[in-house]
Amino acid sequence: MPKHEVDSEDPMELMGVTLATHEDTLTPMAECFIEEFMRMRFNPEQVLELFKNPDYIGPHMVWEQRGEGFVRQLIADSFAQWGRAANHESRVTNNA
Amino acid sequence: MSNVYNWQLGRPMDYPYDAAFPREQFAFVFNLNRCIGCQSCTMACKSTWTFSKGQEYMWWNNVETKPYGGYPAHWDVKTLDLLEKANPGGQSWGGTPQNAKAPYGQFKGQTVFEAAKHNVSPEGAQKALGYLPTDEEWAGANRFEDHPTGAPKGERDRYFQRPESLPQHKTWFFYLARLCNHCSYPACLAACPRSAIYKRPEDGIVLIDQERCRGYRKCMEACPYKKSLYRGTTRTSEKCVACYPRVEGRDPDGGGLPMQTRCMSACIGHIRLQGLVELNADGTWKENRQHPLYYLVHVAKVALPLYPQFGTEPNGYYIPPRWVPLPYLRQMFGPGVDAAIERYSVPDRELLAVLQLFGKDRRICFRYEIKQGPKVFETNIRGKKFEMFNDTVIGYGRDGKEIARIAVEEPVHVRPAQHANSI
Ligand code: SF4
Ligand code: SF4
Ligand code: SF4
Repeated sequence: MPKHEVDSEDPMELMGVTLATHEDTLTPMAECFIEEFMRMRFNPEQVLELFKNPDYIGPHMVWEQRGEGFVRQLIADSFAQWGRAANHESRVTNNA
Repeated sequence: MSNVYNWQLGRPMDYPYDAAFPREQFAFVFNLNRCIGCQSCTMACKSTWTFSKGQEYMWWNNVETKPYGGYPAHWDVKTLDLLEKANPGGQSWGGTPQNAKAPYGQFKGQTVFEAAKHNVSPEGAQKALGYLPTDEEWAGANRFEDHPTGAPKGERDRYFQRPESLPQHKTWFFYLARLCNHCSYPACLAACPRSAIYKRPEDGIVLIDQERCRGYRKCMEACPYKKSLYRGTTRTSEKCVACYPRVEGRDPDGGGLPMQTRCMSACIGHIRLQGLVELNADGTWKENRQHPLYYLVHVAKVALPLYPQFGTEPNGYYIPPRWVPLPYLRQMFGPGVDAAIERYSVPDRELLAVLQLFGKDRRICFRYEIKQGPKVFETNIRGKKFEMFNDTVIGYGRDGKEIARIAVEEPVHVRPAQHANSI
């Protein structure tokens, strides 16, 4: 039947319903985004910009829920863990 | 019914036709850790193939937000539900992973072909257990999946003015990019009463002959991935054609070499790598150690088939997203998930290099080599030794000539602002 409203009692109607989960996966999710963009040679500031961008929903959700301080720290930790902290910036060439 | 071997299930299974394998098989690997849901792939396909009248709701490539989303809505939950009802509690895996003939162990449950035998309606038994999605389910590809919004009943046009009425994501989700899997045992083909669907012997691409199709939509009902779609204006079904002129090397841009499809080459996130793989007489992949897809699927084992339990032997493979709870991923990609995530999270030297091939050249890569570079870093990551080398991966096209050369520490060049979009 065509439906016009979300029925949260309908087990098949999963869209737009808060997912019931006790697992907090925000940190591993954010870590993954940071590492992927780090491997694509984004620098820490560029990665932070992604988290601030409301159009980039996954990272932005973490930024909103945990705050910028948390995100900054996670970026710093991830870059340090993978040995990219000190000299990453200098490897990015800006032609401008 | 014939008895065919399905290596993804690690066992023989029933299929309405005898096995027949192409000389090479169209296949692809998507790295879901990288998909940003930008829909560039979706639009690349639409602007190439489905921009005409009657194709308005037709998305051969789509990207849906899991776990909620789907195109058509709930396609996977519904098919899983049908299978569960056909074989209650029995849809499980067992056995131990072996070689390329059973890399994920053995599936003990029933495939869509096996479960269909017991699903007899007045029309007879289905060829593959399935259902026909409603028009509503096809109508809203990726709509409200990221920004769930609602409206009071009867005020449908006001969706975007009432963003507060439904909850937003609070926890994990990921983008699942999909197209036809050009399956080795296509359910669409099995179900077509007109024999209008065929699998090409040269590249395994599955096509619908528009002259023969009468629009019965048996393929749509049977395809567990719901990748056969109906066009009202022609009264025929249509599906992804795997951009076959490009794969054949007929796109002038490729200089005569096979090229990756439109949706693959347009991918902003560099999550996609598409190629052609050679098969053995029994349909398993021919060992080809330096083929990037063979490496990802059979050596590194980081790329896994989507819902292998459906039984069609799909040729789309996915590197599962690291952060998603494992029970969900095991249901979606089978028992290979735990090891795949483990390997991907702390990638070894070769994997880091091969991942650089994604999205780098539009021509199809048939072989890669790695030129070793210096060690640039060493540490312990999650209790494991990790060493990073600045190796260089070199990709070769069909003619054996180099098409791509990328270092693990590839420098980034940022376009100046005045040329931000100067193509
Ligand atoms: S994904 Fe569906 S439409 Fe594509 S080949 Fe497989 S069964 Fe057919
Ligand atoms: S392979 Fe070509 S036809 Fe198929 S979904 Fe991609 S762009 Fe569309
Ligand atoms: S273009 Fe690539 S990154 Fe963007 S939605 Fe498609 S698969 Fe994902």
